[in-house]
Amino acid sequence: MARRIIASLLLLALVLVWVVPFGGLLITSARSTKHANETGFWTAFQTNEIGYSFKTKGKEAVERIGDDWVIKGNIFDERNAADQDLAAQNNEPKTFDIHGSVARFGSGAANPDVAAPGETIDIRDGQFTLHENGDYTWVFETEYTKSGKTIGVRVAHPPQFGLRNYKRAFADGRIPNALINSFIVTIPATIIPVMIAAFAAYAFSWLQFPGRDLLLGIVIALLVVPLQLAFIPVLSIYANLADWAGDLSASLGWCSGQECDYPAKTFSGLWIAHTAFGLPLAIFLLRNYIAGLPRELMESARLDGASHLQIFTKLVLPLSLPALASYGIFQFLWVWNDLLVALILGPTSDLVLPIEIQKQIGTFKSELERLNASAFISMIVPLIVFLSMQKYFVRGLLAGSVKGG
Amino acid sequence: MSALTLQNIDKVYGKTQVMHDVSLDIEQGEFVVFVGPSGCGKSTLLRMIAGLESISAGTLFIGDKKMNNVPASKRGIAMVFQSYALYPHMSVADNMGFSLSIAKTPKQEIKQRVAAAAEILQLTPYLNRLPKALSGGQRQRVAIGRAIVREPDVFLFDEPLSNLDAELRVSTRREIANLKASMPDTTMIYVTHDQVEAMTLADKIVVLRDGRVEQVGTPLELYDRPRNSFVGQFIGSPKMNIFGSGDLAVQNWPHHNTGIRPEHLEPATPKTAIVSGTLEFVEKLGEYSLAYLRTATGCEFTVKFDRSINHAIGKELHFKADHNNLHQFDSKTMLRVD
Ligand SMILES: Nc1ncnc2c1ncn2[C@@H]1O[C@H](COP(=O)(O)OP(=O)(O)O)[C@@H](O)[C@H]1O
Ligand SMILES: [Mg+2]
Repeated sequence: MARRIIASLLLLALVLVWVVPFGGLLITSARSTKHANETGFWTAFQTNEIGYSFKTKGKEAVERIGDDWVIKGNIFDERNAADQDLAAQNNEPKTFDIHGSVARFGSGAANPDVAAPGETIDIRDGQFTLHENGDYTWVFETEYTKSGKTIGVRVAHPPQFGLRNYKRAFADGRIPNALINSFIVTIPATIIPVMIAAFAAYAFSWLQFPGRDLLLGIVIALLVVPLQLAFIPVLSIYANLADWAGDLSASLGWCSGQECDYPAKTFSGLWIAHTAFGLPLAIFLLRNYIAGLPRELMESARLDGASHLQIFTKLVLPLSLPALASYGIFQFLWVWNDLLVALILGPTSDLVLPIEIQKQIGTFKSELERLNASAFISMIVPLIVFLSMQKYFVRGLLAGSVKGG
Repeated sequence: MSALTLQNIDKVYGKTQVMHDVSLDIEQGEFVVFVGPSGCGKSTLLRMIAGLESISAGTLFIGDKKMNNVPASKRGIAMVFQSYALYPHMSVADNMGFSLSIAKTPKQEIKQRVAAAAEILQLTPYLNRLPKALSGGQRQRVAIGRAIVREPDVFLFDEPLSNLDAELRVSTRREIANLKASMPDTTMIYVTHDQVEAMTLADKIVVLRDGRVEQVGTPLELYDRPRNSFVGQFIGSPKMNIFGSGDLAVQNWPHHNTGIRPEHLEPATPKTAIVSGTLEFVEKLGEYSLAYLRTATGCEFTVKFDRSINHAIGKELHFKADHNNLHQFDSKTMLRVD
């Protein structure tokens, strides 16, 4: 009983550790810059008081009413209209509208807490009254001849969410491009090692050949070789290969001049690198699984006349789907999130998502919510992959093949 | 011509030899049972016949063809494994038709042959199920069906009943006997450690011990004339009593051990008795009772009574036996002496 409670608490803790940052990222990515910068994501569902500075209208809006010169307007409407105009001019998605009610206001951006809504304060010798809904009147005894004045307002702002950050992320084309590049890198870099490792694992488990155990030992020893060790040699091999291929093409007359400068850093180079770095673990894991398949199944298939290739494709592959899927997910995650290998061996112009995001961190340092949108896009892909593959994690595919199963 | 011949077969794993000089002739259509205690090499021998294990020395003929190096699938045999070894991701029909589809048999023919086998084994309603949706007995029948579909010359069974519960074991045993009867030309080799299965199914029993053939014969031959005391004790239940020469009232055979089956000992007077002992324990089984006794010289033995017995524990009882039911074994070699 106590153990079950502890297990449940542990599970709850794990879920929280995972869900809270995820939720924070998602919520932040759907908020406006101001909200994201000034209040925490956990307050996103309540009304927050947020300080704004608004510019009132100026002399162009002065009316003569009775003895007075009066400026009238609504701070929210004016500001929202201006923001939308600006966004439209810059070809950007619609901005978040400011709405809510005025909580306090003051005559300058630095002192928004002077008066309550409905009260009147003195600004530039005029009587300035701001109402809760944002309507203001500014009454002068003499004609007002200056431009508008910036006032500080504390707004009780209700929760507000929108897709603007996502629209912006997609609008400039770099994130979608990086997304596609990431797929181009990740899908082959997952499928190739899984397939090779499955073949190798079958051979290491069910084929007799000289040197088998030694070879397996070497593969497992490769598990502990750090991949950083291989960067420079691999890069120089790629560079030499590209040079050599360029020279060869040139001498065969397939290309000339600049055309013959083949790039050393390519997608296929990344596939090969990820395959090579991933194979030892893949072979190790899959061999453990495939060697554990019942011997009598293989023997039965042999008696039924199946060749090794047929046993592999018709028996081992379908029965190993859970293992292939779990390893495939690991490899997918690893390659998808990889920054280091892509930075060193990947193409310099076609960036993958992690590199693109890393660059955006420099560009949009103050727009947390925009970075969060990009981060969420890069995060949702492995999540979808994981959720759609999770049924393969369910063991019991073997049930019924042998006794008791 | 024999259907299957083993000549001086040895099997060596690394440095340990597990089969010693096994020679055997099996006629076409015979039902042969390999029986022996666990670890005696029954499965190994069967797997050598199937081609799943290499033959270290000796020759294996199936029909008149030497088969030592022929791959398993080309030997004209089919095997039913102890664990059934059904392909878990394939339906019953696909399991049964797998060998035919590997052999590129036309789909129509596969369907017919699978349907025919399913009919025999009453599996027709289950053809589209996965193995995991079947009971143990049904899985067993699918495994047999998979063998039938291939129409082999030789059927091999490795302890096919050992995963079934007692009741199912008896009915499946009868089904296997019926199956054999319906295929008179097919040779079957059946491995079991259970002498009852061996006695009830076999045309011919091969008793194995420690990788050696102890005796080959029909069930009754083995029961009536065991070649040595091991076979005498292994065949028949409860097992045969073995008495040293000093344990018996008659002392005609100084260097012999005498074997007497529990069912052959009959109550006698002290004068006519061949063996006497004090009663130590009684098991009442309704149909018969088993009495466990000990002679004055300390030899334990068992007697089977037709009905329950009312003697008190500790009482001295006397028994005689028909002369024909005494088995004489040399006390050194344990071989039968006649
Ligand atoms: N692959 C193997 N390597 C070494 N010894 C083995 C191997 N397979 C079986 N043996 C040995 O061979 C003997 C016979 O085994 P087996 O044929 O399985 O006996 P059983 O009569 O119970 O079927 C046993 O002593 C077993 O330990
Ligand atoms: Mg066995």
